[in-house]
Parts: sequence; structure tokens; C-alpha cells
Amino acid sequence: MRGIEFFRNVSIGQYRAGSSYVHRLTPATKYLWLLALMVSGIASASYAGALLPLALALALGAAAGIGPGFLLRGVKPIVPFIVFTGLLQVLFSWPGDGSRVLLALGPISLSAREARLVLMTVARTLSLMTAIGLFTSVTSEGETVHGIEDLLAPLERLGLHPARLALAVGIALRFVPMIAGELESIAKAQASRGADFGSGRGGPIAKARAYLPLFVPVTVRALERAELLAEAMESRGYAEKGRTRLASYPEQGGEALARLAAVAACLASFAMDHFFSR
Amino acid sequence: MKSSQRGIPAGAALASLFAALCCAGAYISIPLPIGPVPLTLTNLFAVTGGLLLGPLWGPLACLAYIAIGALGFPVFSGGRGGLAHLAGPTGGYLVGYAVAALASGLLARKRGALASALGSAIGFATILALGAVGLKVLNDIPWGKAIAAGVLPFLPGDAIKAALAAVLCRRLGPFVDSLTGARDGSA
Repeated sequence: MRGIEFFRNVSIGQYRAGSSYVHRLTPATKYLWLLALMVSGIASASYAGALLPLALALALGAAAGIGPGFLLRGVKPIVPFIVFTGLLQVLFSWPGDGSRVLLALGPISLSAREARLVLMTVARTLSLMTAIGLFTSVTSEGETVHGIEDLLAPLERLGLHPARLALAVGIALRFVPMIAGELESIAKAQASRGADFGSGRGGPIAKARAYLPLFVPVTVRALERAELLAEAMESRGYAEKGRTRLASYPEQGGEALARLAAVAACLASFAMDHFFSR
Repeated sequence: MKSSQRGIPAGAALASLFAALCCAGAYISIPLPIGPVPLTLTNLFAVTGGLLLGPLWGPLACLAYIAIGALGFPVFSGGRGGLAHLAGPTGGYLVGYAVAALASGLLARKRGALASALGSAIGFATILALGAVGLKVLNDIPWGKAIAAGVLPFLPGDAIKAALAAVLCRRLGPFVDSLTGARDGSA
């Protein structure tokens, strides 16, 4: 029954409850830091600039009582992607690549330019994943959703509905485990009647065919849930205008300073490009 | 889809459920022997969501799915998550889901058999096209390789999924309409 228990592992988040200064920042400030660390990680052109967000995220994590091991865990699942990107760089050479060839194996060669690109990808990925790991470990589910709503609120003027997006995210987060559970129970019901999941025999096509019959019952059950939910919301008088929140996020001392620091961190990372040769 | 007061809870409920289905669909992911892009059911749910929920709530469901994944919840294909994936090799597909839901939602407003089939086909084509653009731009590889790795392996599977999405849309459409009260004007 491998491949079925799997569905249950849609673990939601890796929030580490705490009361540190970092934890108590408002969601908007946390998003600003996330954005600053990611932008500087992606857009810096030097190793130092791309790795600065990693150092900052680890430092902030330490301040929040979250160890580097926990933050760096997020890197593991995307190692295959990094390897694939690296392989692409090495296998397909750049037209007009005049840089020094570091390693040559028959028709495949690793030039200095390719090596640099691969190393930059690694540095950027480390920074990005650590920044995201830090954000999710100090921001609870509710804060995450309210933060989206607050940040996107200006879009209301353009005729968009950020509140609806936040609502959909909030509800969907609660429904993921439920749908995963449905999927599991339907898969088990079908397996008990002889369907074959995850035995690995027959290759991708056979596997795909085994999964397709899951789609219809899961969708129908989800729609039934949607009807219940809509009725529940209606009967409780849900309206888009004039909603209030149960949770509030008071600003603490130094909140403005923390936001400025995020912008400064981003600028510092770009400044690194200047001071360190590529 | 008309967003009457009645429509909002129903639309939000449907959109969140489709977002959750997209999340769950990523767990039914079948790795292909070629390349980094596995076969998943997420695109099936994304396009079906567009067809069923229309050009407002359909894309919103996909955006919610992308937002959930971007925040680090492991709901992208193969149990991955994080904003890095939007900028990673398969980011184009993720953006493609929302655009596809919009495109198929716009095309399939009338729920005719032809409109559903066309909307579904255009939806899947949009995902593949944006996915290939993503592979090309984010990995700096030539077009030929991007299409060979990111489009061709999926054509058979996606053709089946496109047909399935169109059929499902025809079957489930009346249910969704009665729920949202969008088409008969009553409720």
C-alpha cells in the first residue's frame, strides 16, 4: 500500500511557535523581510551578494530560537532540481563561450562560465530556501493569510479582490488535509476491490491509468463539501464588506526600524556586487 | 460568473476546494523517465476549475494554490514547496495554471460541448506553452531542448486529461451552476 499512506503526509507548514522578537513582528514586516531576502538572493550578481540573505536568515533564525539545521531542511527536496539545472548547463554549451575550459570529457566540457552559473544557482537556492524556511517557521497559518490580505489590499482599487484570494487560501489550507484523507479512503476502497496503486509494476502509463479513476469520486465529494461550506457561510451571514478579525497584530517597539532594516539588507546585498569582484 | 451576494460564499467555497484539489493532485505525481517535470493531476484540476468556476473564481483557485505553495507548504509536484519553485525550472507551469484557468474559463462560459472541449484544449496548451517558456528562460537552454523536455513527453497524457476535463465539466456543470445560482438567475 505504498503510495497511499503518502497522501496523508500533506503536512501543513513547519511553524515553530515562540515568543521571540522575530515571532512577534507583524505579518507585514515578516513579508517585507521575506521579500527583501528573496529579491537580494535572486538578483545579486556576486557570490557574496547572493549568500548575504542566507547569512541574515540564519542569524534571524538564531534570534528566534530556530537552528540552522531546521532552516536548511527545505533545501533537501529541491536538490534534484539543482542537479538537473547543473546538468543542463554542462550538457548544452553556450554559443560563443570563450571562457577557460576547466574539465573536458569527450564532447562534454565544463567551462569557467558554466561552473560559475552552477555555483550561483546553488548559492541562490540556498538563500531562497532558507529565507522561506525562516518565514514559515515564525509565521503561523492565520498570520500568513491575514498578511496576504493586508499586503494586497491596495489592489482593491484596481477592481481586484485580495480579500477573496485570502479567503480562498485560508479555506483551502484547511481543506487540503481533508481532501488528502478523501483521496486516501477512496484509494483504499478501490485497492480493496483489486485496484493496484504504487506497486511500481507496468511503468508510468499503467500507474497513471490506476490513478485516473480516483479523480471523479474525489471531485464529486469535494463539490459536496463546497455546497455544505457555502451554506454554512451563508447561514452565518457572510458578507464581504465590514468583516472584522478575531486576531489582531499590534505593532511592537522598533517595528518601523525592523522594516527599514529589511530594505537596508536588500541594498547591502546589491552593494556587495560592487565591492566583491565577480 | 455574476458575483451576487449569493455567489461569494459559493464561489469562495468552490475556489478553495479546487485549490485544495490542486494541492492534493500534486501528490498523485508520476515521475517520468525524462526530465524534471513529473506527470501530475494538478493541471487537470486547474483546467477543470477554470471550466467549471469561470474566469473569476477559476484563476483565483489556481492563484490560491500557487500562494499556498509559494509560502512553503509542500503542495507543488512531488511534495515540494516554496517560492523558489516559482523561479525554478518548473515555475512556468505554475504560472501557466492560473493563465490556463482564465483562458478556459473565458472560453467555456456557455458550457456547450464544443466550448468545453475547446476551453479544455486551450487550457492545457497554455500550461505547456508557458511551461516550455519557463524551462527555456529560467534554465537558459535552447528552445528545441525546452520543448523536447517540457512539452513532448506530456502530450499523450495531457490529451487524455483534456478530454477528461471537458467531459467532467459537462457532467458537473449543472451542479456548480445550481450551487452558485449564476446561470438561472434565481436563488
